[in-house]
Amino acid sequence: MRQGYDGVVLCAPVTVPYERYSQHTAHWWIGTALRELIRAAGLRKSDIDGFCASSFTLGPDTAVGLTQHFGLSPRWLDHIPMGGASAVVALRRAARAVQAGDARVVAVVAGDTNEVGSFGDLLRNFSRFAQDATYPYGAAGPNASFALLTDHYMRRYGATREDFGRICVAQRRNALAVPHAMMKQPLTMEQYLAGRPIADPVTLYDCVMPCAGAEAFLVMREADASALPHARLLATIERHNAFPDDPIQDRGGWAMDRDELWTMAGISPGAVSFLETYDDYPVIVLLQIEDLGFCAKGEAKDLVRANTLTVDGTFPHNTSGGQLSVGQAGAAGGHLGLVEAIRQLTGQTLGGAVPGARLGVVSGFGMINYDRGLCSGAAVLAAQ
Amino acid sequence: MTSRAAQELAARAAAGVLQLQVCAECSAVQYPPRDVCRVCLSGALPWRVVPNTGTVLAATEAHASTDPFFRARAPWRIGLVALDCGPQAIVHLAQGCAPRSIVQVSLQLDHEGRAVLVGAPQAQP
Repeated sequence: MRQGYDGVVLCAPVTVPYERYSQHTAHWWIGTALRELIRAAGLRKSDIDGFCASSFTLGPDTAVGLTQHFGLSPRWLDHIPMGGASAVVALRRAARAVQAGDARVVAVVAGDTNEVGSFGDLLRNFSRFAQDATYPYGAAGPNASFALLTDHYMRRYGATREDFGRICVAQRRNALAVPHAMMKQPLTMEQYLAGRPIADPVTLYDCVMPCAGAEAFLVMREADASALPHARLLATIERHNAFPDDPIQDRGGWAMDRDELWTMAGISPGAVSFLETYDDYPVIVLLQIEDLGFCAKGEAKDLVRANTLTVDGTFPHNTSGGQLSVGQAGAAGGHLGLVEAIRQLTGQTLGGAVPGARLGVVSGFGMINYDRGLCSGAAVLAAQ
Repeated sequence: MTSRAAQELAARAAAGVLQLQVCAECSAVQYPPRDVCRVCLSGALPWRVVPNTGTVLAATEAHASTDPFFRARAPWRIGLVALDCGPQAIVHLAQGCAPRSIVQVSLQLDHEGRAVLVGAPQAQP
Protein backbone atom coordinates (compact mmCIF):
# COMPACT_ATOMS: atom_id res chain seq x y z
CA MET A 1 0.00 0.00 0.00
CA ARG A 2 1.42 3.36 -1.01
CA GLN A 3 1.93 6.12 1.51
CA GLY A 4 -0.85 8.72 1.45
CA TYR A 5 -0.50 12.45 0.93
CA ASP A 6 -1.55 13.50 4.41
CA GLY A 7 -0.71 17.11 5.19
CA VAL A 8 -0.08 18.15 1.57
CA VAL A 9 -2.35 20.77 -0.03
CA LEU A 10 -2.70 22.71 -3.28
CA CYS A 11 -3.51 26.41 -3.33
CA ALA A 12 -3.21 29.71 -5.21
CA PRO A 13 -4.66 28.70 -8.61
CA VAL A 14 -3.25 31.17 -11.15
CA THR A 15 -4.05 31.66 -14.83
CA VAL A 16 -2.32 34.35 -16.89
CA PRO A 17 -5.02 35.25 -19.45
CA TYR A 18 -4.36 33.57 -22.79
CA GLU A 19 -3.57 35.33 -26.07
CA ARG A 20 -3.84 33.81 -29.54
CA TYR A 21 -0.38 35.07 -30.54
CA SER A 22 2.16 36.71 -28.27
CA GLN A 23 5.34 38.73 -28.67
CA HIS A 24 6.27 37.75 -25.11
CA THR A 25 8.57 34.79 -24.46
CA ALA A 26 7.81 31.69 -22.41
CA HIS A 27 10.07 33.23 -19.76
CA TRP A 28 7.68 36.20 -19.53
CA TRP A 29 4.61 34.00 -19.29
CA ILE A 30 6.13 31.77 -16.60
CA GLY A 31 7.60 34.71 -14.69
CA THR A 32 4.29 36.55 -14.77
CA ALA A 33 2.54 33.47 -13.39
CA LEU A 34 5.14 33.18 -10.62
CA ARG A 35 4.65 36.84 -9.69
CA GLU A 36 0.89 36.28 -9.50
CA LEU A 37 1.39 33.13 -7.38
CA ILE A 38 3.43 35.08 -4.84
CA ARG A 39 0.90 37.90 -4.76
CA ALA A 40 -2.08 35.57 -4.42
CA ALA A 41 -0.49 33.63 -1.57
CA GLY A 42 0.97 36.64 0.25
CA LEU A 43 4.47 35.19 0.08
CA ARG A 44 7.89 36.65 -0.57
CA LYS A 45 9.79 35.35 -3.57
CA SER A 46 12.36 33.89 -1.19
CA ASP A 47 9.65 31.75 0.41
CA ILE A 48 9.54 29.69 -2.82
CA ASP A 49 12.13 26.99 -2.11
CA GLY A 50 10.84 24.50 -4.68
CA PHE A 51 10.20 25.23 -8.36
CA CYS A 52 8.88 23.07 -11.18
CA ALA A 53 8.49 24.26 -14.77
CA SER A 54 6.88 22.83 -17.91
CA SER A 55 7.16 24.45 -21.33
CA PHE A 56 7.67 23.62 -25.00
CA THR A 57 9.00 27.04 -26.03
CA LEU A 58 11.61 27.77 -23.36
CA GLY A 59 14.57 26.61 -25.44
CA PRO A 60 17.49 26.72 -25.03
CA ASP A 61 16.63 27.16 -21.36
CA THR A 62 15.21 24.71 -18.84
CA ALA A 63 14.01 25.27 -15.28
CA VAL A 64 17.69 25.79 -14.42
CA GLY A 65 17.94 28.94 -16.52
CA LEU A 66 14.69 30.23 -15.07
CA THR A 67 16.13 30.27 -11.54
CA GLN A 68 18.73 32.84 -12.59
CA HIS A 69 16.27 34.70 -14.82
CA PHE A 70 13.83 35.05 -11.92
CA GLY A 71 16.38 35.43 -9.11
CA LEU A 72 15.18 32.28 -7.34
CA SER A 73 17.40 30.07 -5.18
CA PRO A 74 15.31 26.93 -4.73
CA ARG A 75 16.63 23.87 -2.91
CA TRP A 76 14.38 21.65 -5.03
CA LEU A 77 14.03 22.02 -8.82
CA ASP A 78 12.29 20.01 -11.51
CA HIS A 79 11.46 20.32 -15.19
CA ILE A 80 8.67 18.12 -16.54
CA PRO A 81 8.66 17.60 -20.34
CA MET A 82 5.45 15.57 -20.44
CA GLY A 83 2.97 17.87 -22.20
CA GLY A 84 -0.58 17.03 -21.24
CA ALA A 85 0.52 14.83 -18.33
CA SER A 86 2.94 17.38 -16.92
CA ALA A 87 0.68 18.86 -14.25
CA VAL A 88 -0.26 15.57 -12.61
CA VAL A 89 3.35 14.41 -12.75
CA ALA A 90 4.62 17.74 -11.36
CA LEU A 91 2.07 17.51 -8.56
CA ARG A 92 3.21 14.00 -7.66
CA ARG A 93 6.86 15.06 -7.46
CA ALA A 94 6.10 18.28 -5.57
CA ALA A 95 3.77 16.60 -3.08
CA ARG A 96 6.39 14.06 -2.06
CA ALA A 97 9.07 16.76 -1.80
CA VAL A 98 6.87 18.81 0.54
CA GLN A 99 5.85 15.74 2.52
CA ALA A 100 9.48 14.68 2.99
CA GLY A 101 10.62 18.18 3.88
CA ASP A 102 12.90 18.55 0.86
CA ALA A 103 10.95 21.72 0.08
CA ARG A 104 8.39 23.76 1.96
CA VAL A 105 6.65 25.72 -0.81
CA VAL A 106 6.78 24.41 -4.38
CA ALA A 107 5.65 26.65 -7.24
CA VAL A 108 4.40 24.52 -10.14
CA VAL A 109 4.29 26.65 -13.29
CA ALA A 110 3.65 25.92 -16.95
CA GLY A 111 3.76 28.50 -19.67
CA ASP A 112 4.27 28.82 -23.39
CA THR A 113 4.32 31.53 -25.95
CA ASN A 114 2.80 31.22 -29.42
CA GLU A 115 4.25 33.06 -32.37
CA VAL A 116 3.16 32.76 -35.98
CA GLY A 117 4.96 29.67 -37.27
CA SER A 118 6.09 28.34 -33.90
CA PHE A 119 3.61 25.44 -34.03
CA GLY A 120 5.25 24.20 -37.23
CA ASP A 121 8.66 24.35 -35.54
CA LEU A 122 7.32 22.29 -32.65
CA LEU A 123 5.95 19.64 -35.03
CA ARG A 124 9.21 19.37 -36.98
CA ASN A 125 11.24 18.83 -33.83
CA PHE A 126 8.79 17.03 -31.55
CA SER A 127 10.52 13.68 -31.09
CA ARG A 128 12.98 11.44 -32.90
CA PHE A 129 10.35 8.92 -33.96
CA ALA A 130 8.08 11.74 -35.10
CA GLN A 131 10.90 13.26 -37.17
CA ASP A 132 11.75 9.91 -38.72
CA ALA A 133 8.40 8.21 -39.08
CA THR A 134 5.48 10.64 -38.64
CA TYR A 135 6.39 14.11 -39.92
CA PRO A 136 7.29 12.95 -43.48
CA TYR A 137 3.75 11.56 -43.85
CA GLY A 138 1.99 14.83 -44.64
CA ALA A 139 3.26 17.02 -41.79
CA ALA A 140 -0.25 17.17 -40.40
CA GLY A 141 0.88 16.87 -36.78
CA PRO A 142 -1.42 15.74 -34.01
CA ASN A 143 -4.50 16.28 -36.19
CA ALA A 144 -3.54 13.26 -38.29
CA SER A 145 -2.31 11.16 -35.37
CA PHE A 146 -5.56 11.63 -33.48
CA ALA A 147 -7.56 11.18 -36.67
CA LEU A 148 -6.18 7.65 -36.91
CA LEU A 149 -7.05 6.94 -33.27
CA THR A 150 -10.51 8.47 -33.73
CA ASP A 151 -11.17 6.48 -36.91
CA HIS A 152 -10.27 3.27 -35.12
CA TYR A 153 -12.25 4.08 -31.97
CA MET A 154 -15.42 4.95 -33.89
CA ARG A 155 -15.39 1.69 -35.81
CA ARG A 156 -14.49 -0.47 -32.82
CA TYR A 157 -16.92 1.01 -30.28
CA GLY A 158 -19.63 2.63 -32.39
CA ALA A 159 -19.09 6.19 -31.23
CA THR A 160 -20.42 8.83 -33.62
CA ARG A 161 -19.43 12.36 -34.50
CA GLU A 162 -22.46 13.52 -32.50
CA ASP A 163 -20.89 11.96 -29.41
CA PHE A 164 -17.74 14.02 -29.90
CA GLY A 165 -19.98 17.00 -30.64
CA ARG A 166 -21.74 16.63 -27.28
CA ILE A 167 -18.39 17.04 -25.52
CA CYS A 168 -17.40 20.07 -27.60
CA VAL A 169 -20.79 21.79 -27.33
CA ALA A 170 -20.97 21.31 -23.54
CA GLN A 171 -17.45 22.59 -23.05
CA ARG A 172 -18.22 25.68 -25.12
CA ARG A 173 -21.19 26.35 -22.89
CA ASN A 174 -18.92 26.04 -19.83
CA ALA A 175 -16.37 28.38 -21.43
CA LEU A 176 -18.78 31.22 -22.16
CA ALA A 177 -18.46 32.38 -18.52
CA VAL A 178 -14.63 32.33 -18.61
CA PRO A 179 -13.28 35.78 -19.56
CA HIS A 180 -10.02 34.70 -21.22
CA ALA A 181 -11.43 31.82 -23.28
CA MET A 182 -10.29 31.95 -26.91
CA MET A 183 -13.74 30.81 -28.06
CA LYS A 184 -16.40 33.26 -26.97
CA GLN A 185 -19.31 32.33 -29.23
CA PRO A 186 -21.86 29.63 -28.41
CA LEU A 187 -21.45 26.40 -30.39
CA THR A 188 -24.42 24.38 -31.57
CA MET A 189 -24.42 20.74 -32.62
CA GLU A 190 -25.30 21.87 -36.16
CA GLN A 191 -22.27 24.14 -36.25
CA TYR A 192 -20.08 21.37 -34.82
CA LEU A 193 -21.21 18.87 -37.47
CA ALA A 194 -20.67 21.45 -40.24
CA GLY A 195 -17.06 22.14 -39.16
CA ARG A 196 -14.66 21.97 -42.07
CA PRO A 197 -12.67 18.74 -42.46
CA ILE A 198 -9.18 18.75 -40.91
CA ALA A 199 -8.13 15.08 -40.98
CA ASP A 200 -11.09 12.72 -41.43
CA PRO A 201 -12.97 12.07 -39.18
CA VAL A 202 -11.54 14.98 -37.18
CA THR A 203 -13.13 18.33 -38.06
CA LEU A 204 -12.57 21.92 -37.02
CA TYR A 205 -14.26 21.92 -33.61
CA ASP A 206 -12.46 18.73 -32.51
CA CYS A 207 -9.19 20.66 -32.58
CA VAL A 208 -7.76 22.95 -29.93
CA MET A 209 -6.49 26.39 -30.85
CA PRO A 210 -2.79 26.86 -30.03
CA CYS A 211 -2.23 30.03 -28.03
CA ALA A 212 0.04 31.64 -25.42
CA GLY A 213 -0.65 31.49 -21.70
CA ALA A 214 0.38 30.21 -18.30
CA GLU A 215 -1.12 28.20 -15.45
CA ALA A 216 0.31 27.76 -11.96
CA PHE A 217 -0.37 26.61 -8.41
CA LEU A 218 1.43 26.07 -5.12
CA VAL A 219 2.02 22.82 -3.28
CA MET A 220 2.68 23.24 0.44
CA ARG A 221 2.04 21.87 3.91
CA GLU A 222 -1.46 22.15 5.22
CA ALA A 223 -0.09 23.88 8.32
CA ASP A 224 1.55 26.57 6.17
CA ALA A 225 -1.57 27.11 4.08
CA SER A 226 -4.09 27.56 6.87
CA ALA A 227 -4.81 31.16 5.85
CA LEU A 228 -5.32 30.25 2.20
CA PRO A 229 -8.21 28.44 0.51
CA HIS A 230 -6.73 25.05 -0.38
CA ALA A 231 -7.55 21.61 -1.70
CA ARG A 232 -6.28 18.31 -0.32
CA LEU A 233 -4.58 15.62 -2.38
CA LEU A 234 -6.07 12.15 -1.91
CA ALA A 235 -4.46 10.00 -4.59
CA THR A 236 -2.46 10.00 -7.81
CA ILE A 237 -1.32 7.63 -10.55
CA GLU A 238 1.23 7.91 -13.36
CA ARG A 239 2.18 5.55 -16.20
CA HIS A 240 4.26 5.80 -19.36
CA ASN A 241 4.08 3.70 -22.53
CA ALA A 242 1.27 1.55 -21.18
CA PHE A 243 0.09 -1.44 -23.23
CA PRO A 244 2.91 -1.25 -25.81
CA ASP A 245 1.63 -4.39 -27.53
CA ASP A 246 -1.76 -2.88 -28.39
CA PRO A 247 -1.54 -2.47 -32.19
CA ILE A 248 -3.40 0.86 -32.04
CA GLN A 249 -4.20 2.94 -28.99
CA ASP A 250 -7.72 2.72 -27.63
CA ARG A 251 -6.80 2.75 -23.95
CA GLY A 252 -4.23 4.52 -21.83
CA GLY A 253 -2.26 3.98 -18.64
CA TRP A 254 -5.27 4.86 -16.46
CA ALA A 255 -6.65 1.40 -17.28
CA MET A 256 -3.57 -0.15 -15.66
CA ASP A 257 -3.65 1.95 -12.51
CA ARG A 258 -7.21 3.06 -11.80
CA ASP A 259 -7.86 0.49 -9.07
CA GLU A 260 -4.90 1.87 -7.16
CA LEU A 261 -6.21 5.42 -7.69
CA TRP A 262 -9.65 4.70 -6.23
CA THR A 263 -8.28 2.52 -3.42
CA MET A 264 -5.79 5.18 -2.41
CA ALA A 265 -8.47 7.89 -2.54
CA GLY A 266 -10.89 5.75 -0.57
CA ILE A 267 -13.81 6.65 -2.82
CA SER A 268 -15.59 5.27 -5.87
CA PRO A 269 -16.09 7.08 -9.20
CA GLY A 270 -19.73 7.73 -8.34
CA ALA A 271 -18.71 10.05 -5.49
CA VAL A 272 -16.87 12.48 -7.78
CA SER A 273 -18.34 15.98 -8.13
CA PHE A 274 -16.60 16.82 -11.42
CA LEU A 275 -14.00 15.52 -13.88
CA GLU A 276 -11.28 17.47 -15.68
CA THR A 277 -9.86 15.46 -18.59
CA TYR A 278 -7.12 16.27 -21.07
CA ASP A 279 -9.12 17.21 -24.13
CA ASP A 280 -6.73 17.81 -26.99
CA TYR A 281 -9.23 15.81 -29.06
CA PRO A 282 -12.61 14.51 -27.88
CA VAL A 283 -11.79 10.85 -28.53
CA ILE A 284 -9.21 11.05 -25.74
CA VAL A 285 -11.91 12.31 -23.39
CA LEU A 286 -13.87 9.12 -24.05
CA LEU A 287 -10.77 7.01 -23.35
CA GLN A 288 -10.22 8.75 -20.02
CA ILE A 289 -13.85 8.42 -18.93
CA GLU A 290 -13.68 4.68 -19.60
CA ASP A 291 -10.17 3.91 -18.41
CA LEU A 292 -10.63 5.83 -15.15
CA GLY A 293 -13.63 3.62 -14.43
CA PHE A 294 -16.56 6.01 -14.82
CA CYS A 295 -18.08 3.43 -17.20
CA ALA A 296 -17.11 0.22 -18.96
CA LYS A 297 -14.88 0.14 -22.06
CA GLY A 298 -16.72 1.34 -25.14
CA GLU A 299 -19.57 2.86 -23.13
CA ALA A 300 -18.38 6.46 -22.75
CA LYS A 301 -20.54 7.28 -25.76
CA ASP A 302 -23.59 6.25 -23.72
CA LEU A 303 -22.38 8.31 -20.75
CA VAL A 304 -22.02 11.48 -22.83
CA ARG A 305 -25.46 10.87 -24.36
CA ALA A 306 -27.05 10.52 -20.91
CA ASN A 307 -25.49 13.58 -19.25
CA THR A 308 -25.27 17.32 -19.90
CA LEU A 309 -21.52 17.50 -19.04
CA THR A 310 -22.09 21.14 -18.03
CA VAL A 311 -21.09 22.91 -14.81
CA ASP A 312 -24.72 23.22 -13.74
CA GLY A 313 -25.85 19.82 -15.00
CA THR A 314 -25.01 16.14 -14.69
CA PHE A 315 -21.47 14.73 -14.89
CA PRO A 316 -19.79 18.17 -14.91
CA HIS A 317 -16.77 17.87 -17.19
CA ASN A 318 -14.02 20.32 -18.16
CA THR A 319 -15.83 22.95 -16.18
CA SER A 320 -13.94 25.98 -17.53
CA GLY A 321 -14.36 24.86 -21.13
CA GLY A 322 -11.13 22.90 -21.41
CA GLN A 323 -8.57 23.41 -24.09
CA LEU A 324 -11.20 22.91 -26.78
CA SER A 325 -12.76 26.25 -25.88
CA VAL A 326 -10.21 28.11 -23.73
CA GLY A 327 -7.25 27.30 -26.00
CA GLN A 328 -4.11 25.18 -25.76
CA ALA A 329 -1.30 27.24 -24.29
CA GLY A 330 1.36 24.58 -24.88
CA ALA A 331 2.36 22.81 -21.67
CA ALA A 332 -0.01 25.08 -19.75
CA GLY A 333 -2.74 23.08 -21.47
CA GLY A 334 -1.63 20.17 -19.34
CA HIS A 335 -2.16 22.31 -16.21
CA LEU A 336 -5.48 23.90 -17.16
CA GLY A 337 -7.58 21.08 -15.70
CA LEU A 338 -5.65 20.85 -12.45
CA VAL A 339 -5.76 24.61 -11.84
CA GLU A 340 -9.49 24.60 -12.62
CA ALA A 341 -10.03 21.74 -10.16
CA ILE A 342 -8.30 23.76 -7.40
CA ARG A 343 -10.56 26.68 -8.28
CA GLN A 344 -13.70 24.55 -8.09
CA LEU A 345 -12.73 23.07 -4.72
CA THR A 346 -11.73 26.40 -3.17
CA GLY A 347 -14.56 28.63 -4.41
CA GLN A 348 -12.34 30.65 -6.75
CA THR A 349 -13.80 29.87 -10.16
CA LEU A 350 -13.43 32.30 -13.06
CA GLY A 351 -16.62 30.97 -14.65
CA GLY A 352 -19.33 28.67 -13.39
CA ALA A 353 -19.05 26.73 -10.13
CA VAL A 354 -20.18 23.14 -9.67
CA PRO A 355 -22.75 23.29 -6.83
CA GLY A 356 -21.40 21.64 -3.68
CA ALA A 357 -18.19 20.40 -5.29
CA ARG A 358 -16.29 18.24 -2.78
CA LEU A 359 -14.27 15.79 -4.87
CA GLY A 360 -12.62 16.39 -8.23
CA VAL A 361 -10.65 14.14 -10.55
CA VAL A 362 -7.99 15.52 -12.88
CA SER A 363 -6.58 13.45 -15.71
CA GLY A 364 -3.55 14.05 -17.90
CA PHE A 365 -2.43 12.62 -21.23
CA GLY A 366 0.61 13.57 -23.21
CA MET A 367 3.19 13.19 -25.87
CA ILE A 368 2.40 11.50 -29.19
CA ASN A 369 5.99 10.29 -29.52
CA TYR A 370 5.10 8.22 -32.59
CA ASP A 371 1.69 6.58 -33.07
CA ARG A 372 0.17 7.04 -29.60
CA GLY A 373 0.22 9.18 -26.47
CA LEU A 374 2.74 7.80 -24.00
CA CYS A 375 2.18 9.65 -20.72
CA SER A 376 -0.89 9.32 -18.55
CA GLY A 377 -1.73 10.30 -15.02
CA ALA A 378 -4.59 11.25 -12.72
CA ALA A 379 -5.17 12.83 -9.34
CA VAL A 380 -8.08 12.90 -6.90
CA LEU A 381 -8.50 16.19 -5.02
CA ALA A 382 -10.83 17.04 -2.15
CA ALA A 383 -12.19 20.28 -0.75
CA GLN A 384 -10.77 21.54 2.55
CA MET B 1 16.55 16.18 -39.94
CA THR B 2 16.29 12.45 -39.39
CA SER B 3 18.27 10.10 -37.17
CA ARG B 4 21.26 8.08 -38.35
CA ALA B 5 19.16 4.93 -38.10
CA ALA B 6 16.51 6.50 -40.36
CA GLN B 7 19.26 7.46 -42.83
CA GLU B 8 20.27 3.80 -42.90
CA LEU B 9 16.68 3.00 -43.84
CA ALA B 10 16.89 5.54 -46.67
CA ALA B 11 20.09 3.89 -47.91
CA ARG B 12 18.12 0.65 -48.32
CA ALA B 13 15.21 2.18 -50.21
CA ALA B 14 16.91 1.69 -53.57
CA ALA B 15 17.02 -2.10 -53.10
CA GLY B 16 13.38 -2.46 -54.10
CA VAL B 17 12.45 -4.76 -51.22
CA LEU B 18 11.32 -3.92 -47.71
CA GLN B 19 14.19 -4.09 -45.24
CA LEU B 20 13.93 -3.32 -41.53
CA GLN B 21 16.15 -3.84 -38.53
CA VAL B 22 15.89 -7.34 -37.06
CA CYS B 23 17.46 -8.04 -33.66
CA ALA B 24 20.41 -10.42 -33.98
CA GLU B 25 19.73 -11.81 -30.50
CA CYS B 26 15.92 -12.08 -30.17
CA SER B 27 14.72 -11.63 -33.80
CA ALA B 28 12.29 -8.82 -32.96
CA VAL B 29 11.61 -6.61 -35.98
CA GLN B 30 12.00 -2.90 -35.25
CA TYR B 31 10.13 0.14 -36.56
CA PRO B 32 10.63 3.11 -36.36
CA PRO B 33 14.41 2.57 -36.72
CA ARG B 34 16.15 2.25 -33.36
CA ASP B 35 19.59 2.06 -31.79
CA VAL B 36 18.77 -0.77 -29.38
CA CYS B 37 16.19 -3.55 -29.56
CA ARG B 38 12.75 -2.66 -28.16
CA VAL B 39 12.51 -6.13 -26.58
CA CYS B 40 15.97 -7.20 -25.33
CA LEU B 41 17.95 -3.93 -25.63
CA SER B 42 20.61 -5.54 -27.81
CA GLY B 43 22.56 -3.07 -29.93
CA ALA B 44 22.98 -5.60 -32.76
CA LEU B 45 20.24 -4.64 -35.24
CA PRO B 46 21.23 -5.76 -38.75
CA TRP B 47 18.98 -4.83 -41.69
CA ARG B 48 17.08 -7.78 -43.15
CA VAL B 49 14.47 -8.32 -45.83
CA VAL B 50 11.10 -8.78 -44.08
CA PRO B 51 7.63 -9.79 -45.32
CA ASN B 52 6.00 -6.70 -46.86
CA THR B 53 2.33 -7.34 -46.15
CA GLY B 54 0.18 -5.81 -43.46
CA THR B 55 -3.34 -4.86 -42.39
CA VAL B 56 -4.69 -1.31 -42.34
CA LEU B 57 -5.73 -0.48 -38.77
CA ALA B 58 -6.94 3.07 -39.45
CA ALA B 59 -6.83 5.66 -42.20
CA THR B 60 -7.27 9.40 -42.61
CA GLU B 61 -7.14 12.10 -45.24
CA ALA B 62 -5.36 15.17 -43.92
CA HIS B 63 -6.79 18.42 -45.30
CA ALA B 64 -4.43 20.67 -43.36
CA SER B 65 -0.63 20.62 -43.18
CA THR B 66 2.22 22.80 -41.96
CA ASP B 67 4.28 21.81 -45.03
CA PRO B 68 3.57 23.68 -48.32
CA PHE B 69 4.26 20.53 -50.39
CA PHE B 70 1.46 18.61 -48.73
CA ARG B 71 -0.82 21.64 -48.44
CA ALA B 72 -0.70 22.01 -52.22
CA ARG B 73 -1.66 18.33 -52.59
CA ALA B 74 -4.33 18.05 -49.90
CA PRO B 75 -6.11 15.97 -48.96
CA TRP B 76 -3.22 13.61 -48.30
CA ARG B 77 -4.05 10.01 -47.37
CA ILE B 78 -2.13 8.14 -44.67
CA GLY B 79 -2.81 5.06 -42.59
CA LEU B 80 -1.57 3.02 -39.68
CA VAL B 81 -0.64 -0.50 -40.80
CA ALA B 82 0.04 -3.55 -38.63
CA LEU B 83 2.92 -5.19 -40.47
CA ASP B 84 2.80 -8.98 -40.59
CA CYS B 85 6.46 -8.97 -39.52
CA GLY B 86 5.53 -7.35 -36.18
CA PRO B 87 5.56 -3.57 -35.73
CA GLN B 88 3.02 -0.91 -36.73
CA ALA B 89 3.88 1.78 -39.24
CA ILE B 90 2.38 5.03 -40.42
CA VAL B 91 2.38 4.85 -44.23
CA HIS B 92 1.38 6.88 -47.25
CA LEU B 93 -1.77 5.04 -48.26
CA ALA B 94 -3.11 4.52 -51.75
CA GLN B 95 -6.76 5.15 -52.55
CA GLY B 96 -8.89 2.07 -52.06
CA CYS B 97 -6.93 0.79 -49.06
CA ALA B 98 -9.68 0.89 -46.48
CA PRO B 99 -9.33 -0.04 -42.82
CA ARG B 100 -9.07 -3.83 -42.34
CA SER B 101 -7.82 -4.36 -45.90
CA ILE B 102 -4.55 -6.13 -46.69
CA VAL B 103 -1.81 -3.97 -48.20
CA GLN B 104 1.67 -4.40 -49.58
CA VAL B 105 4.15 -1.97 -48.07
CA SER B 106 7.10 -0.70 -50.07
CA LEU B 107 10.11 1.32 -49.00
CA GLN B 108 10.71 4.41 -51.13
CA LEU B 109 12.47 7.77 -51.11
CA ASP B 110 10.23 10.84 -50.99
CA HIS B 111 10.61 14.27 -52.60
CA GLU B 112 13.06 15.28 -49.87
CA GLY B 113 15.12 12.07 -49.97
CA ARG B 114 13.60 10.66 -46.81
CA ALA B 115 12.82 6.98 -46.45
CA VAL B 116 9.05 6.47 -46.44
CA LEU B 117 6.71 3.49 -46.44
CA VAL B 118 3.91 3.33 -49.00
CA GLY B 119 0.88 1.06 -48.62
CA ALA B 120 -0.83 -0.10 -51.81
CA PRO B 121 -3.46 -2.73 -52.63
CA GLN B 122 -2.10 -6.26 -52.62
CA ALA B 123 -1.03 -7.29 -56.12
CA GLN B 124 -3.20 -9.96 -57.70
CA PRO B 125 -1.46 -13.35 -57.92
